Amino acid sequence: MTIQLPVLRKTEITITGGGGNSGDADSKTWEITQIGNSFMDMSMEMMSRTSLSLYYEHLQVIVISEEVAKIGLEDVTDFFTREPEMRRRVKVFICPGQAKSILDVQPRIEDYSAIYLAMLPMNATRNSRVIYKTDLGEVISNIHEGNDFVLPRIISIKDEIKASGGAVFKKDKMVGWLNEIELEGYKFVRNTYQNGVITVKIPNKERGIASMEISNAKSKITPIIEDGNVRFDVEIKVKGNYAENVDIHTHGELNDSFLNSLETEFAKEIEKICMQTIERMQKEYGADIFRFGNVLRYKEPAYWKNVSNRWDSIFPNVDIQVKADVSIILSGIVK
Amino acid sequence: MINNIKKIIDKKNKKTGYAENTEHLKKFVLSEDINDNVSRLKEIMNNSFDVKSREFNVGGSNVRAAIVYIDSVSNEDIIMDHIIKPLIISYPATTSKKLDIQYIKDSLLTGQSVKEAETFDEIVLSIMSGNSFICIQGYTKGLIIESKEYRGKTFATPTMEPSVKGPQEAFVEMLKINIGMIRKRIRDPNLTLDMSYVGRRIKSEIVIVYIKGIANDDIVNEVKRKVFSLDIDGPTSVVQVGKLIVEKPNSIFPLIQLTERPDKLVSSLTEGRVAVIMNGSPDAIILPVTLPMLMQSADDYFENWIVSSVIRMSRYLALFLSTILPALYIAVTTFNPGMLPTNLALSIAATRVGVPFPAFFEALLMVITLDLLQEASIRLPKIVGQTVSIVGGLVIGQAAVQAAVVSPIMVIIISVTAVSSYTIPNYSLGLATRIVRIPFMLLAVTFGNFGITMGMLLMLTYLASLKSFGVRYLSPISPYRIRDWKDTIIRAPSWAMTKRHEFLSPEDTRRQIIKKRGEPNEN
Repeated sequence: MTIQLPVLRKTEITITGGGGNSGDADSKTWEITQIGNSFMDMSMEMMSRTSLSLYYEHLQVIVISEEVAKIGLEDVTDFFTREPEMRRRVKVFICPGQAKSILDVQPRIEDYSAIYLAMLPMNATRNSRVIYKTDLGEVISNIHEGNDFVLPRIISIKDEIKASGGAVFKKDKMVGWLNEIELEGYKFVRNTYQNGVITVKIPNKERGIASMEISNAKSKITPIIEDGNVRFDVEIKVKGNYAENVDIHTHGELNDSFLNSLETEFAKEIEKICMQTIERMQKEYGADIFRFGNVLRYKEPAYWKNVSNRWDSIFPNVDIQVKADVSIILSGIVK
Repeated sequence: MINNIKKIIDKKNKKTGYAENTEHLKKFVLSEDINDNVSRLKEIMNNSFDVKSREFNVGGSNVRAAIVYIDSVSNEDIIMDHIIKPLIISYPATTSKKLDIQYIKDSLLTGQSVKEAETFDEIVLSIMSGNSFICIQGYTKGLIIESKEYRGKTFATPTMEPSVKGPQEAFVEMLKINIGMIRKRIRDPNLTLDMSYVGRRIKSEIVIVYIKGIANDDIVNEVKRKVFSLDIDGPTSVVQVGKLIVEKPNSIFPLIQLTERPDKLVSSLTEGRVAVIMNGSPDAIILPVTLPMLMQSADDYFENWIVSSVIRMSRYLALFLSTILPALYIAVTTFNPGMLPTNLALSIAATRVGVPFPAFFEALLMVITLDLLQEASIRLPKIVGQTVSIVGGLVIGQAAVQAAVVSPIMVIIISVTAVSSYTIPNYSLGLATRIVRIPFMLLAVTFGNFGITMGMLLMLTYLASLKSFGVRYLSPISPYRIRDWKDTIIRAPSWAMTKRHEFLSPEDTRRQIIKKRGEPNEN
């Protein structure tokens, strides 16, 4: 376990005339790494190394390495669940390689990488490739309900941290990664899509691409039972604005038929993304991160009773159809 | 034990025998010799230099008469024109040794009021309060003629309760002028003024003012009983009278409302409250007192009701802040830092690096400094007052922070506390929050937020238990009477206030009849 502690230096009061000392080489944080058998042990041991006691109420993020996540999260989160000083709003991230490498990065706009990391998921309201609300509380409830879930993946490159895709968990064990596009698909189907951008080639033209800014996306999953077999219809309703076109002039061409053809193109793209994600989950990981099982449970409880204990083996072969319905509301004024 | 102490005090009172110079005067009556009378009067008043006397012949006769008065409290023009002049000039020439006293009283003296007196206690009190005394050779009765004139300022502007709009008139030290200010605002014959002399030596006029038919009779009688039965040496101000008549004289929360604004007094009277005013005192006290009333300011009624409601709510917030803000800071930084957002916690912690004291001592230091500054700025003459603000501002604001004795956040906390306490309209209530602050800080440092909560509960329990002339201190909030909330935390529009406050149990509950908003009534 490595804990990043803020190291506070006395704030300087700038007196008029005095020069600012911006080239401060002092590090603002101090990372203590401790090896031990239990978190409580390690926590106590750390207190023998600092003059102050550790205070967890302000814990910002927990970064868990891929290696640990593959073994299972239940053991790891136990301490964080029981300890009364812990807050359920602590953000949880999974990173490939050493978790400490993330904390080593000194972000440019925050003093502490921990706070930087805690703020990062807030961008989910604008960026569809970031997962929102992946706090400890949700992880714990997922583990205890036996759900499959996704946690954000965090990577560090030199002096930058990036939220990139997600880690797929089956029960409490990590089984693999989602890339950023798949994450978008996951958010579409799971009905957690907030805002984002989708870009396609403009149909019937030789060149040019168009982007749409999605402002509202709703998905509806309907289970259909036929001959004792279940299949799912996923209906995604997307509303958004025509945001940008590149490498093409559309002056005077933004008429209804053009926009309609674009809408179909966007819809195709969304369907493609979703299907790709669903297929990968079914074939590769067998993880029901979209909660199709849950939908079945409250829409067809009788059927769910029969299949609930076999769901893991049924899910990979279930037929799932995705249908997207895109409407462009504003096309903007260009003069 | 207490009884024993009382007995001892009673004994001491008997020994010192304050009454020696007034009580025994009852026994003395006027003699027929005017010289005798005059010299005795002067002797009683210890031959003070401003005791004036003059002897003269009445009319053309040889009958001697003497007049005694104190020139510093009486109007000498009145004495000359309305007493001495008619007696010397207008009395019909006679050779008789006997004069017609009834004739003098009824037809000659043109003073405001004339009455006969025989005993010295009555005569001395009259002379002391500015009246003139005439005695005539051969008579054992004298005449007391009204000739009072108090000198003092006749006009003042409110300094303790300033307002932006509305009347800018304040009570002065003279009773007559003060009563005039009240009378000119209420032309209701039911306005009742009950006067009595209170105080053994000072013997000042104390007046209880109320509107008969609105004020609850029980409250009026209770105030009368308590004020008129006071047996004290001498109150120099009506405040001292107020302190003596309240139920819990040890309470730090003000149980009397002091006001210098006649308009405020009048609006209290129309609510059904009772006021006490006293000669020589530029304040009036209003009874019974409730806490929400102390949070009202005259300006609330001169602004739109939404505006004044918001302002009043901010005032309640200020009351809360000025009581517990330093305590909250201590509790949050030392006990419950988890309650702060992380970034704020970090910046507070960063400012506290290098401060040698724990948060409690830091806060205590600043609170004490603040109290000293406040006290100094009141006591100092106005000319040097600026020095305090400069020294205080520099010492607290900058030097202390730069010397790392206190943290900058602490300075902000204390400033907010101080500013909040200045927004409380009632000065005494502001002082009370100053006192309560420190126990709250102690609770915060020992029990954290839990301690503050418990302290708050205790204080509220205490406040709810206080009574002022039978009315609960926190009414109408506790006991809960939603209909009376129209003038507490919010200030309802005036068309909504058709009933008087129930908690004052007024004899007449209806304040006004408004049939349709914004339009005059038909009848």
